Amino acid sequence: MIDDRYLLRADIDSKMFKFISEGPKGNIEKIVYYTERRANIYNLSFGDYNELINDFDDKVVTNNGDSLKVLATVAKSLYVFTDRYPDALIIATGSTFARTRLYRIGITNNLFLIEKDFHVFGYRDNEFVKFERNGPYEGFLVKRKKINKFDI
Amino acid sequence: MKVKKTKIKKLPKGVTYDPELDKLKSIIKVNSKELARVNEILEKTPIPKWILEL
Repeated sequence: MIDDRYLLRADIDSKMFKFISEGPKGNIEKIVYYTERRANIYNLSFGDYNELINDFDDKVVTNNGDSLKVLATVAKSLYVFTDRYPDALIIATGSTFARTRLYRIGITNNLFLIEKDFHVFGYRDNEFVKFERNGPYEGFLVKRKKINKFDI
Repeated sequence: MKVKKTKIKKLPKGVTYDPELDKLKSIIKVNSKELARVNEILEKTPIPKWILEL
């Protein structure tokens, strides 16, 4: 899954990324944007780019039949971002309950791969806890694992 | 006149630099509801030290 992804375009700081989702609904531009909320804590925003208003819609459900490829592309942006900011903590909440659920399913389905390189936490009941499959979470937090020189 | 060169960090395969995104970044708005929710979480629950130290 991880190898099948779209080409990404990045800004100079590797904080904003754009790619084109291709499917039966046409070509849809997607934006992934990491914004700093506290020192070294970033929010991950993701949605469809609206060229007319230069904005992005993070509530739209595109149904372009490529959700796994889209997810793999967002994951790639996370690698590029954390290559540049290795100590950053990235927090994500869905803009709707359904989207939060979608994020949880995406993480759950790829947890084995994600945990190779990231610490993954869920947020529930005012607490950050280690992410467990299918846990009911309100948000998610990830941090890139540090490379141990003995692992190389 | 000297032209200031923009330093571009090396990007991995499959990722290219797009200067348009630098412009877009300065005008785009992030969903305020989502940001408010993130701020609410961070105010209510600071990231535990053990996670920060990982």
